[in-house]
Amino acid sequence: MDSLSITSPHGVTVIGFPSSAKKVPAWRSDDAMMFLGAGSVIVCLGAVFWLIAILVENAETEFWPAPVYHWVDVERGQEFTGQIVAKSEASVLINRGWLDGESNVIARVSRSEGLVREAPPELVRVDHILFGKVYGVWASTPSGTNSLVLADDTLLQLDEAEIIRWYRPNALDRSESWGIFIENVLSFLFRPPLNSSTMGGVYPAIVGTVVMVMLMTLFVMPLGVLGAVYLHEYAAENRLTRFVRVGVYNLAGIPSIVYGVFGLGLFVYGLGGEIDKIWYSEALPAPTFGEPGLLWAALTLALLTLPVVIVATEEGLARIPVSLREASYALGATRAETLIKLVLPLTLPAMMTGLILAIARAAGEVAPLMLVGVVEFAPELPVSAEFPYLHLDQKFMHLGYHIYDLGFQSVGMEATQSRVYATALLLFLIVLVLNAFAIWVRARFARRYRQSL
Amino acid sequence: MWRKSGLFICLLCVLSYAACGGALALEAVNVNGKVSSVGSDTLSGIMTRWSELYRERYPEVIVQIQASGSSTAPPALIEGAASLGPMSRRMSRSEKRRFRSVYGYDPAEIIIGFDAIAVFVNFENTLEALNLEQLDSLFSGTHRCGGSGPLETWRDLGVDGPLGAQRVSLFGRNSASGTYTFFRESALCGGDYRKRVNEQPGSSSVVQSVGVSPRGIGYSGIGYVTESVKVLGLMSDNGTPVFPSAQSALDGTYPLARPLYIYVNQSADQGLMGHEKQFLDLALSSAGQQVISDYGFIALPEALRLKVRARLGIDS
Amino acid sequence: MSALKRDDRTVRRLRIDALLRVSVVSGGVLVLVAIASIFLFLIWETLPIFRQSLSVAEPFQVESPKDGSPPIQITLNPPKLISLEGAISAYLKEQDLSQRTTDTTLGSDSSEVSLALSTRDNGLVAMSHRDGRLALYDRVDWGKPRPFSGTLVGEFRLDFDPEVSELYSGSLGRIHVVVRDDTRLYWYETAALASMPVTFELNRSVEIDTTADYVHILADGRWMLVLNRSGRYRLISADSTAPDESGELGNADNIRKTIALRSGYGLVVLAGSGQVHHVGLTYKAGRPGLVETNAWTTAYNPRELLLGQNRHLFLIGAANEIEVYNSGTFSRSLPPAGERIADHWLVSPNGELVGVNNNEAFALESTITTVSLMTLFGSQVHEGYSQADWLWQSTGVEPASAPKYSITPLLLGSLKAALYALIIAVPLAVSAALFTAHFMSEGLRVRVKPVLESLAALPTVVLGLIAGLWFAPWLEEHFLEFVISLFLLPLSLVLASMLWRLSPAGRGESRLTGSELLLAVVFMLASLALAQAVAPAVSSWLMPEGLVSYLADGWGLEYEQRNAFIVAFILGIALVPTVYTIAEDALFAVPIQLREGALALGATEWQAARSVILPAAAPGILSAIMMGMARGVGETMIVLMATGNTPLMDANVFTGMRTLSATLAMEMPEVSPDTQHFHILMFIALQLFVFTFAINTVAEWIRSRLLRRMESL
Repeated sequence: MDSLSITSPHGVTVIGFPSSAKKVPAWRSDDAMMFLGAGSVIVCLGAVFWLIAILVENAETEFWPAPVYHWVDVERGQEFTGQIVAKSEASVLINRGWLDGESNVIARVSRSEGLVREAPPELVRVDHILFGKVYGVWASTPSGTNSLVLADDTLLQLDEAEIIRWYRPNALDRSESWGIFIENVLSFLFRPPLNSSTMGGVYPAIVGTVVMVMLMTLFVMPLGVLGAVYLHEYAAENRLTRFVRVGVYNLAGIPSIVYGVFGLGLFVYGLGGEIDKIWYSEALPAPTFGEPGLLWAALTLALLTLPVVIVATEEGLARIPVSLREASYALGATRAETLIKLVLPLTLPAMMTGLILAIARAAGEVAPLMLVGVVEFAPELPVSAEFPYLHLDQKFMHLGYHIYDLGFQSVGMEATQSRVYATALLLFLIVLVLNAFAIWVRARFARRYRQSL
Repeated sequence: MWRKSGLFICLLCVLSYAACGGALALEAVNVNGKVSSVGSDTLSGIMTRWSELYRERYPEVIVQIQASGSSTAPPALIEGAASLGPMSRRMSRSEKRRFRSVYGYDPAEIIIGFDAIAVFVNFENTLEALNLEQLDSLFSGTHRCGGSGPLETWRDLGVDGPLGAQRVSLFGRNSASGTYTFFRESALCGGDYRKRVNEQPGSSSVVQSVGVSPRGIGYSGIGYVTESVKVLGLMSDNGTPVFPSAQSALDGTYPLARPLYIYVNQSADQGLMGHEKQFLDLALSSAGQQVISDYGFIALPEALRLKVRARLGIDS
Repeated sequence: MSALKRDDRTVRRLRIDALLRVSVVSGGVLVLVAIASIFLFLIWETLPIFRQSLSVAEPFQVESPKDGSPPIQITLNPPKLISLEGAISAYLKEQDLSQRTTDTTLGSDSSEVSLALSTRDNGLVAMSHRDGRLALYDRVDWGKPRPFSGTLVGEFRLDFDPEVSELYSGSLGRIHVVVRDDTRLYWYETAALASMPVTFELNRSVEIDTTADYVHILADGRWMLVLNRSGRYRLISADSTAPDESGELGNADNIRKTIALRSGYGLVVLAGSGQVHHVGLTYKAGRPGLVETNAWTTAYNPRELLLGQNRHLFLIGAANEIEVYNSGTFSRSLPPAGERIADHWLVSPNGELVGVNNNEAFALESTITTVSLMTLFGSQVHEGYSQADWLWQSTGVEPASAPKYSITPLLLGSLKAALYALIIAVPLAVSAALFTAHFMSEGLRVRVKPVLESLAALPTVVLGLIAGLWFAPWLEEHFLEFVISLFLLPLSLVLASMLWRLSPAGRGESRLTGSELLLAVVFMLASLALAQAVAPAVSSWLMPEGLVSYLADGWGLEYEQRNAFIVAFILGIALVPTVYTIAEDALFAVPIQLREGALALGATEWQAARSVILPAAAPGILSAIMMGMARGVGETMIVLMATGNTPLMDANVFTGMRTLSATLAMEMPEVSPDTQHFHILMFIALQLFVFTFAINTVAEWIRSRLLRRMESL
């Protein structure tokens, strides 16, 4: 096929194929390529749904009241009572709860010919402060309902004050199930972990994440906005400024773990050590700020998200036409007045976008936090009613690290499996919502801004 | 023979601790305070549970627990970032030296229980036991414990069937872990690991990985073992497999048994004080020891427990 | 009045203006400082690993023994010189030079006894009497006025005048003593953790020929090495039923001195006229032998070999040339020779090298690095290995194994992870970008683009969790299904495109508006279902023995459950938004005239895209790929959780890797600051920083150049 070509003065060659569009064949590489491109988009978006689906599937048992089964293996002469934790083709793993002096006893039930499964409605699940989950049947003793007959026919006396709640999973109707589901979700969100994180919720991790992110915002917003204003409004447009701008933009590409290393070395050991020497010398050698803590985590993440805010703000500043500024100067306004009364209010949406993106990035970041202040278990919140209310030197729990810890370092792997996925789902949703919010803000303000100009 | 004496060391250290333990001052515990623990991942579950119980006693106390590996305990104690340093191995001489150079005394060393390092395979595997030379051949790159060379496939270990032709996948801990160091010292004679050993950042992650990998073999503290893996016996000198248990660990027949410690940044000579003392009181109470058994580890024998308590002056 | 007021206001306004200016500029400078400080901090923290020095401390006065007997030990704090003169004597420096303490614990007549000090444990001393008595002293504290007091651990009697050949304190408090008479070597050992006084058990007694010149206990008492001057050796096992091993050190002849290293697995041999050999006890197929791990020839002829602290070995020449050799990592240094000539060189109990003259002593203060760029990046033979290799095993076991820091496997691991992930991410992201930029209607584009971009913020810990706990085991069971899907998905899309073109909806359309995407989704889902359906059949036909055996037999590939394939897909997903965003910007910036010109000339959409848009935007796509690369190299949580963190060096897609970033995440929390390990991790962080910064800068430069060119079109 002959082709025609035109070369522009800038060196771009345009090629034409004059003889191509004669008839429409069923197979055209055009369409195929177009659909492949569409496929790529679908795969990328689909991946997100796929991830969510995996999380939901594995997190389900954390919230939805699953039935308690009673298995009888006739061939082996074994009996089990419990809730299913994981299934495979050959067997199911079940959590038998408190049994024989141990909590969360896990058993493997092989699927075989002689296996009989039933779900007797009188089976009770008790959530207990010390024992965790307990499965059994209320004994009909005259003393009330506080003793439970366990699977191994032993009688367990339960102190009413230590029972968190109890219900009969097999006898629930739809609305009761939903009730339990909502109760579970709420307790997941608003209660501290219990029984080595096999029960209760992730409330301290949520609060820790939120407080850390808010503190980070306090550092990153002023600095980021000042940095962007400096780069765009004050710095002369020369080679140095361009170099600095590239430097700032590239900070976004520096691996987060490097920020963690930096934070540990400079903030914790360096700055923190100095602060201790000056103000907390009476506590030495026990460090107050010379160890990983909330303040250093927030500062490290502030540095990490600084480029996000700067880039977004500068983008916003760049969008404001020069004519607006010139009009302001023509009316006699000083540079500061122009900036404060005209430019910055107009840039607000861009800053908001930057802020939300920074928060989304910070909320999902784990690697640097492992070095500068996150711990696996710290039920005390970093905010309290006690002076100084915000405990900057305290270590805290974090959702992302909680996932890593539960997934890789917890003792009862099977008992915490659903909870890892539930936490992951929560973090995933938080980040997605924040991002969606950022998109919405950007789109909305962009529209309004276009109208107003 | 010389491998099995690990337990005697700990008994020795308890006794030597007794020798230098002085009178302990009684003092009221400040109800507001901070207990911060940095150290062993093996002990993380136990420490978490103990702190939950401790907070029931002292609800105002701030508890912080970080568990990334035993090697994190000495630096944290030295820097003062932690007041308790749980470790699944003994503090090495150089770690103690570093501590002493800062504080001028050795950290107090308190034994709180025992652990047996279990070697395990996937629950579907038919292998029952290994000898120590095979273990060395599997995991070591230097074969200092008498391993006869790298073992590659399951057939080399005597497993037939479809698994036989397949390569063994090795799983272990990361280098910060006390389990890693203990296994290296006692099963590899201080040699190096092979490059092929997958380093997992947590004990439960090792168990989980072996649980889903039919070709896997790994090691971790006995407390982490779940239904998805099968614990292997280790061949004793007379050719019978010994399985990890409280019995075999305490009488020294299981070669990979080890004591678990908590180190406290207080001089043993002056005795323990404050929240550290109260925390150890809880840890060394029968309820505290019940937690150790709950998690699958091995509680202190009653006589030893009372002895340790007496040394620490807890009951005085 | 009002003019004054206005003036006031103007002044205030100007002041505010100036204030704002100052604060903005200082804010900007603060940002600059922040960037620069990261870089400078990392460099600053890296430097100590390359810094080394050797200097002579202020000398102090000592008095040499009057009878000219050689000094046997020196301590710096308190400063004193110890020698065997009459009895064990010590000279204290300080003001009163004549002050001298005598420890008569050993007896009062030194002519009757001979002392042997352990080279590896300076508190362990054996004293043999002419009459055959052998006494052992452990934990001798040389700094005390009476160093031997209360240190006797045991005593036993032999029926000959013993000569102590080796003295070694092993693990669990075991002490080994090897003594000899003219015909035999007797290897005695104490029990582990024995109570005092200890008893010595005869472990082995072997006949020697006269050439058993050097005897060392190795491998924590499992082997005894007997070496002669010409390099022939025998290894005698502690287990009397095990056979002896023998061999020859090929390159060493005329051995003049040997010193066993604290590791228990190596020794340094001084041979010929200045050749130094480091040999290690290496096991091959269960049998030990000596393998040379390092050797070099000194320009001078060392007269002395001394063992310092921390795996250091001092070599001292006749003219006081001093060389420090680190037996852990084989770096050595040759600082300028000290000006003072010493008659004797000693190593104090704290490991300092001290020179002693007639009446003065001086210590050498040394800072010695154990790594160099060569050892960090090159391969080396380590003690206990028979071949040179790149090893990362950053913690050692004291004293048996030195830590091994070879960054090369980590670097390659990072590149492996990033490159495989890019193989997945680039086609996906670029074709998605091309599609959104040029084939999608504007209404759809403004909706899809931000969504795809926002995926960049997906928490990688969640991706890592799914990769490690869910995807890795799933893939091992469903590998074929996954691979078939990979082939069927594009095929189904091609089919969908044909159907669409034939359908009334697709006739004459050149862009997708959204509803057609449904068709693509349906076809893709169908192909996934098909893959799931046929996979078991294909699997049983193609790989009846299972995937792992199939890969091993058919392709010679090892399959680990945590592997680069998993990382490629999960990390690939994480990289897509990065690559997509920049590629889309570049593609969208291609002026519309170019495309429409091509279309007007009769090119189809795809031809226009292929021949005009893609070439025009190629630099932008390149910069997108580079930024993806940088992100992939730096990603931490996914690789930490989904690879086995095995420091391998291979390109096999089915084995794992250990990356720089995961190493930082795992090892940084455990190290104490100001240790060598800490500084090496800082060096790794610096590499990550420089690498990503450089790549990003180049990419940014390419991108901005491209955008400027596009604007000018």
